[in-house]
Amino acid sequence: MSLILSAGFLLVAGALGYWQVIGANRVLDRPTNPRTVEEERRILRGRILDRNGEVLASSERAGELAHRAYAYPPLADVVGYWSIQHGKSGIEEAFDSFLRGERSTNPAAEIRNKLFPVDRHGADVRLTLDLQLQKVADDALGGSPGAAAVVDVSTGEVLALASHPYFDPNTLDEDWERLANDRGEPFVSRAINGQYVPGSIFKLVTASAALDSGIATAGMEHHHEADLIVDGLRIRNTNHPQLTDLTFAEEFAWSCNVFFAYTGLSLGGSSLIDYSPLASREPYTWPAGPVDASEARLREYARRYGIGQAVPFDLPTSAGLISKADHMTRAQLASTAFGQGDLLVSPLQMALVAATVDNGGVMPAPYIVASVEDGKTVERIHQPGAGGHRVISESAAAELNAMMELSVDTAYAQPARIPGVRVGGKTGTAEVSTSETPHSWFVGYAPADRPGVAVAVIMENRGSGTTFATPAARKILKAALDMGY
Amino acid sequence: MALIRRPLELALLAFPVALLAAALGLMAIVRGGEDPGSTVRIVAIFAAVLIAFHLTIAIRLPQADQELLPIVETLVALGLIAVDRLVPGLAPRQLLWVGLGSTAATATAVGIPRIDWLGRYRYTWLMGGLLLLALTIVFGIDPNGSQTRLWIGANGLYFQPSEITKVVAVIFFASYLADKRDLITHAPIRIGRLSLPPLAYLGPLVLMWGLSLVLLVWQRDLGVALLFYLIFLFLLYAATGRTYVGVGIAFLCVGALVSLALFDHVQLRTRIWLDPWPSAAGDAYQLVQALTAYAAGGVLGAGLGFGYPEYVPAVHTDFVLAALGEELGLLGTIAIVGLYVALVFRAFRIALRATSDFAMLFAAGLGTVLGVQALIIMAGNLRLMPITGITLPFLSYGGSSILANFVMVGLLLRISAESPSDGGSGG
Repeated sequence: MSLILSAGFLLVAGALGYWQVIGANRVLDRPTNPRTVEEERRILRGRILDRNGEVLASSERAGELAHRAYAYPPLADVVGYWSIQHGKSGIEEAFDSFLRGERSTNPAAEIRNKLFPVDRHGADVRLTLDLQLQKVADDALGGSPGAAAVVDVSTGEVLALASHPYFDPNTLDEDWERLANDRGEPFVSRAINGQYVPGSIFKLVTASAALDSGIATAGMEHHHEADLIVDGLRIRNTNHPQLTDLTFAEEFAWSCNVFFAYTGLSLGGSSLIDYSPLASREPYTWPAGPVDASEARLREYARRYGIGQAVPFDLPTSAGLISKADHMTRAQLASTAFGQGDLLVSPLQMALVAATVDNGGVMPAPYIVASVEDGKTVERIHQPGAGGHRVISESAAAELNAMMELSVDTAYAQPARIPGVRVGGKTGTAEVSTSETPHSWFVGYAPADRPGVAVAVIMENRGSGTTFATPAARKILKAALDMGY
Repeated sequence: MALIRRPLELALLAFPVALLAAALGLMAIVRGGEDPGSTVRIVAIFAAVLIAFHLTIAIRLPQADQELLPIVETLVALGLIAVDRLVPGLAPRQLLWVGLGSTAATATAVGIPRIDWLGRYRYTWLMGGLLLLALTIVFGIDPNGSQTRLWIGANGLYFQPSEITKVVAVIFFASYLADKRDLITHAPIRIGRLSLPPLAYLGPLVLMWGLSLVLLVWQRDLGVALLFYLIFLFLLYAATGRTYVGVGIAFLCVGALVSLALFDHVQLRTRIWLDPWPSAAGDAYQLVQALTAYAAGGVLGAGLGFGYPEYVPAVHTDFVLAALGEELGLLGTIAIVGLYVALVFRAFRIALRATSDFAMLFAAGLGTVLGVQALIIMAGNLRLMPITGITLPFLSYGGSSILANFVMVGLLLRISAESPSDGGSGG
């Protein structure tokens, strides 16, 4: 009799061991476990700060639960949101384990949080963003949907990331229904996840391929009056009616589509490109024959600049795209070379292209989280300036730098001029469809004589790059320089 | 000091008092902003109740077992801790029941003329018990929304007659079997390999047992029905030395199948038991949350006041073990299982030293009731079997159950005091 009872109690003890230890994690991981949510609501999450300690997100206790407040809603896409119903995004998601006190830079804090889960609080995350510069960038975009990305060239620190329209994370739960159905897509972090046709700013890549491969020089002169016909596609020579004798640099500054289509189709060669066919007043028809080598070289330089791959970053970024097709047709290659074709880029990617030129051909590795801080312990997440990679030679970068300065000093990028500062830039007016106003683009940097601050600005369906994005970018560059970057 | 006749018991009783004081103090700190007076009062009253119990037994039954009471009071202290943790306002009420239970236990232990006297009036007890059950069927009410009408009473004072019937059944079975054990043992009917006791002698027993089962099943209180059945089997074995395993299992299977076919709630509970996860948000919510609470506890537990046992519905009555499992961890729950094992074996030890057949069977039966009841509810809590709504002895919140269980303790103390050779390990 006592044997049967003993067996019963042993069985119970075994079941306790199973449910409390062996099978515990499987039960706890089920969505039926309310503790996850309950604990989440009680944790005093760490703050999210700008580089100068300005508070962007912070939590306060209200009774047992904690309340999260966001000081600057325009940064909602970067800082992210934290919601019991709708989850997390942005830095709130990417650095969740630090913010909720699961991991810490301070081993004492980690132990404290485990021992006193009721009073758990997380570490602060300090960003590289400068709230003052961020405000300038948001102002500069005005009411226009679009984005701006600002990068410190020598360190890779991201100083501002603007994306419009934005949402208010303080009222996310109430607004969710409306925001989720908003055709303006306020949740998309356009600066890092926007997928835009680059237009003429892509000429930086085509020019890089030609200069770095040694088949063109910035100073090479030629006579140019012709249009170009590629397999029936006529590309018109309209951007520099006042000039017929130009250098490579001037063609770049005046953003000539004919010239860059011709350059793109010619990238496969190994000797200097012969531009003499463009001298005639009659349109020049590109001869039949394969352009595989040219396509391969253009793709190679796009790849080196990171187009078509997600930028390694503290937040998820989009890859962009260069033609999904195995082989481009000649006409496609021509369009791609001046930035129209089957191309998509994000503002961050293009800011990094500009930064590469300002940085002597080395693309800095971008980052937005400076450090995680718990009390007095500060742990840097990235080493400033580390992790960059060479994209083009120093001499090719110097030539491109001069060409971008020329563009600002004398040509389409003139609205970016800042007295007393050498500014480099390239405008873009990206056609999206025949019925829509084009996107207005600018990429550039200042100062040009040392690694400074690089910027990319896009204003969706706004029109010419010269008229809209360029003055907006100038405001940002001017403010950044005034702040001492 | 003439009064220190039971030094072991006195020393051991310090443990539940210290446990209660430490745990309630800790919880008052965790909760914060409470009047420390109420904690002090609860601990002081508990200590006073224990001292009164101890002194009464020391004066009147100094030979009684000295280890039984400390084991019980440790469980009671854990029950008070659990109630104070889960429904803070209910702790004084639970303490009141503990006081009443202790009074009833001492009154029983001291008041009955002789243990055998209980056996002599077995039919009286049985009729009384059955009458109570019948009254419940007619006048039963459901004061707490459990959907079963298991209580009688009014004006905020209710009790569950089945708790009293439980004690009465043990008296009846033990007394009847003590009288007839020779006849039942020595002339079995054999059908192939099955051996059945002679029906003429076992008849009244089976009849009474069947009648009480019918009454209980009628009440939809299957946990108690199962408990009665198992007591019957165990006592039959204790009296005759024959297990009648085949018959026992056959009866159990038939009973299970019949109740499965007849009762919706049995089908539902069986389905939940077999696979709770698909209906985790519905019918199986309570069980799934209980299992999650065990899992959240792990080995060391979340710590008193640091878990979320309130997610388990009716946690303070049906799932105290899950609540303690979350906050005290596997160490705590294994300790509780250990306390029940100690309690049962203490009762069996008392049975082995008893001087009469009746006292022996009676003590064994009381131990079995406590042990089997703890097993049934713990097994249900842990998905070893379907959930039944019976209480965890001394731990669950609930007045009638505390009262009845204390009476059983009083009876065990009295039986141990009537064994002249050795009145307990301290004697």
